[in-house]
Amino acid sequence: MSTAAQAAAPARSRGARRVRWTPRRIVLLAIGALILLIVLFPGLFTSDTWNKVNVADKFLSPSWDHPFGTDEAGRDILQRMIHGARLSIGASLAVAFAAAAIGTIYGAIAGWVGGWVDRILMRIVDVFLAFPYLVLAMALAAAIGRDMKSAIIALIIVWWPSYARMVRGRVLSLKRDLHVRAARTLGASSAQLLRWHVIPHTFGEVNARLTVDIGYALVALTGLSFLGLAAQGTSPEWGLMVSTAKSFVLSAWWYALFPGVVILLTVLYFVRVGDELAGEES
Amino acid sequence: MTDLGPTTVAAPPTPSLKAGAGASRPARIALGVLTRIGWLLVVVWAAVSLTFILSRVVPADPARLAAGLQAGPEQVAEVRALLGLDQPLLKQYIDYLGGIATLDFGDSIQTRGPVLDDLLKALPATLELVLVAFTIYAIVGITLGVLWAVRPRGILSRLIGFGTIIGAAVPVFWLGLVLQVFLASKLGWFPISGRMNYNDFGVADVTGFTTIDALLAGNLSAFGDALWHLVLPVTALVASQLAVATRLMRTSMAQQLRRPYVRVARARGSSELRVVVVDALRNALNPVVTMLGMQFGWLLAGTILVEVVFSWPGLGLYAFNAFRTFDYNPILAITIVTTVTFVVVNELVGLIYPILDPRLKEDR
Repeated sequence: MSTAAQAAAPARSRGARRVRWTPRRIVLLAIGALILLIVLFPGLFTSDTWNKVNVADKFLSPSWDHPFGTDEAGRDILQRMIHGARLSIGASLAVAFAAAAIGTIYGAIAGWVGGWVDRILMRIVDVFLAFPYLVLAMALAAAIGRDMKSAIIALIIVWWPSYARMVRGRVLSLKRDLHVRAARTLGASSAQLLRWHVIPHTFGEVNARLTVDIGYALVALTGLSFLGLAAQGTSPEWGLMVSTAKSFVLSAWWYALFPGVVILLTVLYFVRVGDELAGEES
Repeated sequence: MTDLGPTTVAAPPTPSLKAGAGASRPARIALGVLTRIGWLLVVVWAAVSLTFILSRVVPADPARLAAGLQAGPEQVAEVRALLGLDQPLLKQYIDYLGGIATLDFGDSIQTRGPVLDDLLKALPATLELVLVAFTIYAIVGITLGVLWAVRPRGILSRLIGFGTIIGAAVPVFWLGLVLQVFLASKLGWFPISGRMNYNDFGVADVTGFTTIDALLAGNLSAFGDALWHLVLPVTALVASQLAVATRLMRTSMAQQLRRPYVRVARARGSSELRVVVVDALRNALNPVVTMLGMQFGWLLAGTILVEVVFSWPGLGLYAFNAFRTFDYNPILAITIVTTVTFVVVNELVGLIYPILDPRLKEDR
């Protein structure tokens, strides 16, 4: 009786899954909302002159007016970082989501079809995993131009295989599950089974991994920017800020310090949320 | 011991050895080695082909790219003819493969010499950095992981746990800068950048490894200086990867410590130290060794950021400079060389793994 009900139940019975709102989770959610707000509406937190050159104020050390100090053009570093969040975090989100989407579909197909198709598809995954991302990003940026776009593409290329492998493993076990067999007996096609009864069950793991990866993508992306492979010129992208600050590091320590601290805290945040999701999953 | 069970290896590229299931053990091992070599060739070919596509197919005008920014129209035309860029793509591809097979990566615009010479000159610096970092990484990672597993709730374990989270999240280039500013510049404890200077100490450059050359010359102050220059770059490199080894070691060790044989050893009256270090550690090391092999490749690639921060004259800095000056051949060469090294190291680890685990089977 209970197994029959289970089999007939939709892929995710939303009512059954009640999130427990511990204080820690509320804090994490609040921080998430703040990050979202900063990414979407940086103007709310800064003055209109955030990017204006004001040489008289250059290299002011941190103070109440300029909590993170000012840079070589007299601009407030905190305000620039708030505007850079959209670039740095936005790009990391793009990398993680695109990699997860591509990897999930690819891995699901490999695991579902099985046999030699699976073997060939997974071999291709192995080839992609063999490339060190920094080097690939360099080659790619050299070929298609050094900007955020090619950095994002390079990171997606090296990131999707890990999802493909994870989802494939999950699908291999899912496809023998009772609810999938039941749905098949009811006449569902392969595409329907995958779409409604298999792939949704991988979301839990994928989401946890994806959240952590937003953080790690941020580390990778700012690294590429630091090498001059992603953001260019006077962009307030965080990695580029550290890169610019490198030249002034001996006279203005705060210039390199704060962007790095913010990157670190942002990464820690996403890793923490990912762990929370993974805990919920298991 | 005729049936050894399914022969699978935990390393990522996992060639199936099913074909030789009925054969004798040496034959199966030989088959496994051949499969792996074949696999290796496929990946190398893929890497080379990728660089071909990136350099010849993707760009609007590959000759312009290869000739460099300052080149005039005649020079571009010259490069076009020289590289055979006016030929059909298939012929270009075959010539390209031929060039790579004979280690001919073309010339560098920046240094005006063959890229291969530049690479060989930069290689020892990178290897020295990565080998030292790797050794320290392995020792520290394994030690911390074991400590963590043995006393999961102690203060030390909390510190280790917290440290690994920070280490994994910290951008390595930024950590390098911070070390540079505070430990080198403000406190003056370490040199800010670069390697030991051969001329300052009158040491002959024999191997390209500063530490080894200093020892060969019997010059202890030079040796000290060589080590001194290594401290900060190695610290940055190790810190950024440490979490991986430590966490895996802890998980693996904790698993072993829950096993019956550990209980038996304890019941027999073995000391805790003996149980942990002699009995459990050996078994717990297997997955860690596999992972360490892969990490070596990552260190090799990740050293680019550290080399740039510390002006360490290795492959990474060479690649970075080539990149800044749009010097295309070196970038391609480094893509190929790094990827091939990365894959070869992974495969070698895959070959060592069954030796470490004589049962030759996966039992976790």
